[in-house]
Amino acid sequence: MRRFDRAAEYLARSTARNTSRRGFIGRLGAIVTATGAATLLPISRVRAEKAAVPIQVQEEGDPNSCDYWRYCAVDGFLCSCCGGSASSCPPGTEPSPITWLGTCRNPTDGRNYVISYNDCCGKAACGRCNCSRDEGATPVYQPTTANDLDWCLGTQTGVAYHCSLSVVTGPAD
Amino acid sequence: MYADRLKGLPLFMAALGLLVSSADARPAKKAAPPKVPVLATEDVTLVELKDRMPPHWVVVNDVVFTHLIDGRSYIVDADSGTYLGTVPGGHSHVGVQFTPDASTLLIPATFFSRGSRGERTDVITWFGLKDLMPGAEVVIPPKRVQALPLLSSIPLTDDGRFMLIYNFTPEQTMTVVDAAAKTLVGEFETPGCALAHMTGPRSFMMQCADGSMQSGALAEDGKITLGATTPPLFEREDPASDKPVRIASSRWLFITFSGAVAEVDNATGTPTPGARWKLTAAGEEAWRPGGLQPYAYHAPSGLLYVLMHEGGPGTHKHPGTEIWVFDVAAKKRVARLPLETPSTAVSISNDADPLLYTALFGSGTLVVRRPSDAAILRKVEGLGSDITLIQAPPVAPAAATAP
Repeated sequence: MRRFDRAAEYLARSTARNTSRRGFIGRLGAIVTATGAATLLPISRVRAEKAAVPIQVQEEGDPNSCDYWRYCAVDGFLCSCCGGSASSCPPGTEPSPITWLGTCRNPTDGRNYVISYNDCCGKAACGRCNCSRDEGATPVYQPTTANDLDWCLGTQTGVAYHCSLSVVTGPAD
Repeated sequence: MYADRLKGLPLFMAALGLLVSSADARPAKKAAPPKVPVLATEDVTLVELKDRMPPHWVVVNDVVFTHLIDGRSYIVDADSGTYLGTVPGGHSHVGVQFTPDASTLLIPATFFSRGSRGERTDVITWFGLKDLMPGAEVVIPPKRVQALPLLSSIPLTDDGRFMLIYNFTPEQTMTVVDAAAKTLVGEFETPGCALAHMTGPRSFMMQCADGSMQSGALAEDGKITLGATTPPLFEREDPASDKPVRIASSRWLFITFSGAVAEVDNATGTPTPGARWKLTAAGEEAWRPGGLQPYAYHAPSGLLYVLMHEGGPGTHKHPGTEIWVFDVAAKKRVARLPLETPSTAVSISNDADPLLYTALFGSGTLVVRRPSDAAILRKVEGLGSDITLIQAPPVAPAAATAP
């Protein structure tokens, strides 16, 4: 739990540093302030499923394709092609507890959504469906929005990167 | 038409069979073996390289993205296109640091006790160029940043005394190793700021999340003290790349995703913004710098080589389709050199008669070019899978001539 606590503290500090930013970072700050950093951490919502959770019924597109709308800022191997899905880690991997967030527009309803790009960790790289889009991605010194970083750093299984998720965390506006 | 031609095929094949049969029936004539000396018995030998890296040898780094635990560096003679040897790099390989005399490579690396899992160990290992064998090593805190490779995450002071390792856990700290004593100095907090761009024997600048710059200093025992910071120098919407260009001991060019250039000097220990200019002129706004190693600066000529492509926001990792050459002192473009193959990395040797290098991530090919027009001199193919950074060695100052 120590790593988890550190991650929450980091996100809170980082958000405080960036509260003057415009755009979705500002909105992210509002979310963190309102709900507490820990509830943003995807690990709090991880549960086991017998099968990879598919995309939601009202979505359109192919989650095995780099063109799929949620992947607007991803950089890595798509978990959909690696035994998981856009929101499910493949078996035997561990979801990263912290990650970076992007904002993508869902073409079906025209709304922007905050997407959490958690990594699945603990095995060597999947190597399938490499996808690099980078919309809104920033340099590594702005880590909360950087996709060049290996976000497996908070896991118990180590930093070995396997694949990337793109999880809908809620509307951005 | 074709069916008519094929009608005769069985007859032809039968005739051919007869010819072969009759040939087999003849008594065989053994050709006399040529009279040459018997092959000598051989010993197994082991190649040794030079004591120091010549200016046109180059280190090509491969992160091996699909097998990240197996990063490595290839050493290539760019004059001849000869592959000279391999140095292992471990998980999430960045690159090497050359000692100032170019005789030794320092490689920070991450390993797991059971391949891709198990206990993590981060270690700096010294590889002598001559035998490319792992020599001394210093185990460092297992925290070094795991990211696409950035040389400013593993800088060595100009005199080779200290090596700095940027950590991200996500706490931000800097590990310092005494490279002369080969001991760990310690780990120092650098909250909110990342990387270390060296600005003198014992000073550096860091880039911070709000777009500001932070200065840092190393004491003679290697301990880090953080100094002055600047106000934010860059807009969130157009951040400076994390791959700045060192143009003098204390001066760096920070170039934004859209191609705006800002010079920052840390000579006084306080980062001081200087001239601002743009890579693009009016009407060229669609062009942007991009790639994993988009910039190469050649100090003897003062020329900056930049990989440029046409694209909008979010294309800062796209490969360049042209190399634009700038006279940094004049802040003026002096050439546009189209590339026949897009490239994600550009580098240049540090001597007065340089070679220009490019590579495309995923191609496994190093392209050696003439700097004046980017004409291809030779290609070195089969260099692994995912070339990231190309590193030319330092050029030792010319030895003093005997009186």
